[in-house]
Amino acid sequence: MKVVDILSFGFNAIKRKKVRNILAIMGVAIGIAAIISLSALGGGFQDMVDIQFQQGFSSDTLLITTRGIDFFLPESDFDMYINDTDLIEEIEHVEVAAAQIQRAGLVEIGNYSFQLNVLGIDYEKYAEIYPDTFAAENGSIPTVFDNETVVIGSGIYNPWDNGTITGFVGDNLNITYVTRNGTLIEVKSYNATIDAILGTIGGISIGGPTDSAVFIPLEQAEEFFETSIADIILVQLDTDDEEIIKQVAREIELLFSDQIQVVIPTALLASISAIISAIELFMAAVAMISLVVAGVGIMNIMLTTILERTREIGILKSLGMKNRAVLAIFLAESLIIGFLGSLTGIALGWTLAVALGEFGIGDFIAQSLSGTFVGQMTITPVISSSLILTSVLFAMSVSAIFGLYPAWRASRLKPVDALRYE
Amino acid sequence: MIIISQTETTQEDTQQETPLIELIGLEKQYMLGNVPVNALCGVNLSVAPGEFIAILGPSGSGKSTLLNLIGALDKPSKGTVKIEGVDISTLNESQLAGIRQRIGFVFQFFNLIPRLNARESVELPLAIQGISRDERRRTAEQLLEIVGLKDRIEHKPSELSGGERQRVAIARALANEPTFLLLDEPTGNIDSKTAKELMRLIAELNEKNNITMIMITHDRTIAKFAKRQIHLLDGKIVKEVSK
Repeated sequence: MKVVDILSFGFNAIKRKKVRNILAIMGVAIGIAAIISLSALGGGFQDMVDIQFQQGFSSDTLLITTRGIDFFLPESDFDMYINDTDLIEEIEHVEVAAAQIQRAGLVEIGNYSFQLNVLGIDYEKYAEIYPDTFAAENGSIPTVFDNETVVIGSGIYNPWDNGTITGFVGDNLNITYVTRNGTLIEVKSYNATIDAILGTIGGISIGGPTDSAVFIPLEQAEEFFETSIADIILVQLDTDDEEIIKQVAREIELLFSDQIQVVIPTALLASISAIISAIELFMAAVAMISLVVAGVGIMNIMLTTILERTREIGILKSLGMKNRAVLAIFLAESLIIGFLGSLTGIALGWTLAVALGEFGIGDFIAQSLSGTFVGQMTITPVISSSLILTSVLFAMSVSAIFGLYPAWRASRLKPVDALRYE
Repeated sequence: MIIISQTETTQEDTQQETPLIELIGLEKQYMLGNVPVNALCGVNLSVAPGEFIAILGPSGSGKSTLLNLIGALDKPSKGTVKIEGVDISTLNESQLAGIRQRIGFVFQFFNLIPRLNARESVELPLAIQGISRDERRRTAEQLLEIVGLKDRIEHKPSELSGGERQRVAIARALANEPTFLLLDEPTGNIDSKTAKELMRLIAELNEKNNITMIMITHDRTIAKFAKRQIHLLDGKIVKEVSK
């Protein structure tokens, strides 16, 4: 029997039992949709993280912190001071070291107020480390400044991306900082003037500028927050040679007697990517379980089908159909279900991924990551032809595996028994 | 369809040729629950090409068992079935399928596939043999015309009468130019008037196209269409009548 005849015979049979087969097809479709949407969103998220980090970090930048990015190590009581940068700058291959003081503050701009990260930085050094992202789109980053200057991220100026502008260059911005002083609550605030608004960076970064940060001069931060403890020291190297970067990182660690952590951004990026991949893999495994369930569904309906069509199998055999062809016919039915299910699933999954990406899963993730407002973050789902191909192949293999036993049983029926079946 | 020119052969002549079907000491036992049943007890029969045989007998006499064995649908417990000189017990499943492709079956309950229309039903054995769509279609339409269903080609079994369904089944049985036709009570489920018409068609196919017919029936008026009648009782041939 020709393959095309086997397929059309199977398709014809599927058409006759619409409801049952549509349900089986939906079973496969749901599994595939889950795989496609999760992978597409995961891929989109990975892409976004990659882009953000590449923008937020250059490969020749190091980040020194006492708090640590490692979740498992206890936090150190050790403090770095902002003038520790002088010591670090003496190390070979270090071009610039910039201290950063970081506090959460209430920022009032126009009629709006937000709880935001206020970063005290050295404008000049910061611009040197982040020449692409710490660049003004409106106004200019002052080189000579008084303490009342402020630079804001684009997310503060245009937080909803819909044309509502909170304030502009030259406008006033009020920063309020609340602390405890013994049992008292101490509220401090001051007025600053917006001198520059950064271009859109998009999303999250560690250490580097973000769209939702307010940048004030380091000296002002020192005075206003009453501290000379640096939260982060950023280090710009003159090389991106991995070996040298590691060596410098080690030297810095030794300089502070191993009480600080030096984060190598590329390594951080790699580990974050690994975490995302692991989550993605786990999700895919869950989705695959649903596909296996769909496979059991296929097996179930195929066994029912074969029972119902026992007589037909007898007829086919009496007409001289070989066992192989009987097997092929029923296997083809499973495969058609798998194929139609995977096509439906791809369409469904893609729609779901686009819808979730569009309607704010990015914002949701961003908010849960930062705990504060970070602005718009849209995940663009990534669907590759290899993802489509893999899911179709996977659905087809599942249908083949679960369709094989019923088809084999059909092919083994004795013609005389099959014909006599009522 | 090959229309073989009518050649009158006498009974003696055909006896000397290689028989088309030869049954030697055929026995078949099967279990009905825990009770062994002897369906056939030593049947010897030789069928020459072009014969029209009716096998008569009451129910339980072993008629259907005999037909299933001749049609390579079942295997004997003992004895030999030879088709065109080949002992079919020596064949594997795939070769048996090949033998079945050269046998036309017509069943009492038509055994048409409900979702296929008349043309598709007749095309089916040809599709199984891997014959191209166009050729299949042509042959099927030709055969349906021969059995008198020219205007019923696109009808499904549910839209056809019993007699018409059996004609579709006959056309299907003829599709792969079988060496012989096995008919299991072909008129068992249709009214007597239609049955006569159907039998005339079968007799005509035997006469004109020289297609060997082996038919089971318990109806003596139907059996009269055959040239040779074999009476079966309790798994044995008890009487043979030739015209």
